[in-house]
Amino acid sequence: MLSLSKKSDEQADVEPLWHPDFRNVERLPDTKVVRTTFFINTAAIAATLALLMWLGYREFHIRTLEQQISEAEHQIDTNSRQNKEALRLSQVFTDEEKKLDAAANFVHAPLSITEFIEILGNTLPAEISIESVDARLSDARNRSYVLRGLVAGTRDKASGSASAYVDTLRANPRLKKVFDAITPERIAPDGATGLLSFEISLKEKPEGKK
Amino acid sequence: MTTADITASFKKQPVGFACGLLCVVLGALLYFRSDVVDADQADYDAKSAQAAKIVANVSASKNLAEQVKEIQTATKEMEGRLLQSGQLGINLQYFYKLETETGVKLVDVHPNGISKNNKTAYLPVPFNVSIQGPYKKIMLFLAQLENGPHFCHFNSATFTKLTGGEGASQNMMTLTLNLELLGQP
Repeated sequence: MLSLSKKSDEQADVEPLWHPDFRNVERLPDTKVVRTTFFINTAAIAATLALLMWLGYREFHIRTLEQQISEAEHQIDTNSRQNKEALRLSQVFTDEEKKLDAAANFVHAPLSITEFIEILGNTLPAEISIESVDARLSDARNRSYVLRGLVAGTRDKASGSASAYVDTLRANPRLKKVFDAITPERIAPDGATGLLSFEISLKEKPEGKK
Repeated sequence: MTTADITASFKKQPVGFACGLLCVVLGALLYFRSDVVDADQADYDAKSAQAAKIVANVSASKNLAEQVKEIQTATKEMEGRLLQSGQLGINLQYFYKLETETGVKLVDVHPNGISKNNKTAYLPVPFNVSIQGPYKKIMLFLAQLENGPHFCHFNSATFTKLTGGEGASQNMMTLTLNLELLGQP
């Protein structure tokens, strides 16, 4: 019985036939159960479909993006005029705010001179007399006050009073908040009056330090 | 491979050939449009960010016009309190007026040179002022300077108790001020 399957030319070379083969292989029908054409067509169609789906998905994605872009552009166009006006107003506001800030910074001081003098008046003991107050306020990072005064009483008591006065100043909550250091610079007898003279310096804290 | 061979192969596998041809076309399309997604995505990101910013600006500026009007009124009011740096007579009049109101003795008042190196819109106009009087009047003068119509900044202040003579008995003192009043050029 003749084989139903086609044999390749290679096989023909390997196994010599016992009689001449007159078959025209090219014209013989494909008699395999599942034909080669089926596999080729299936693979080709599957590959084509896969590529088609890939391309389709990507085109859909592009279309969606383009729609979203157009929506965003529409939103930009719709609000563009209002946005320009808002930006203009915002610039005007910023300029005006700068002017107000300049004035506020100009007058800003952690402690006004009148408040400082009032605190001195409220904390001054009876035996102490302030002869001069020198405020140096031009440099915002290095503001200081210098108090010069006289203390009544015997020298031993007077020096104690001067030290106690420095402690009183240091304990004052408002001064504590504003000044970094309150230090007695000099305590010495005053030649003219015979009393004990003193000098106390108060250095303001730099801005921002608490 | 001749045309006849190709024709024969096509006739043998027409579906496979058609699909192969379509695959080539699809592959080319995929290749040539591969940049479009990235470009569109970048475009979308930029435009959506811009749109979100614009929408946020617009919604945040609902009461901005009123606020601008308010701040402009406040600035106008503030500018009404500024000195005109060139009007020396009127500026000195301010201190003489304070002298009259508080009862201190204005020993000396003179303007100092105006610093041109100023980054703000306004100009500090400096003065040296020296006054004499009792403690309470001196404090009144100082308080009026601090809270008066003009914006005042003190560079230095020296209080000195007057000793000896009539001054000492009346609790008199001298106050020497180096101050600046905020002005406009």
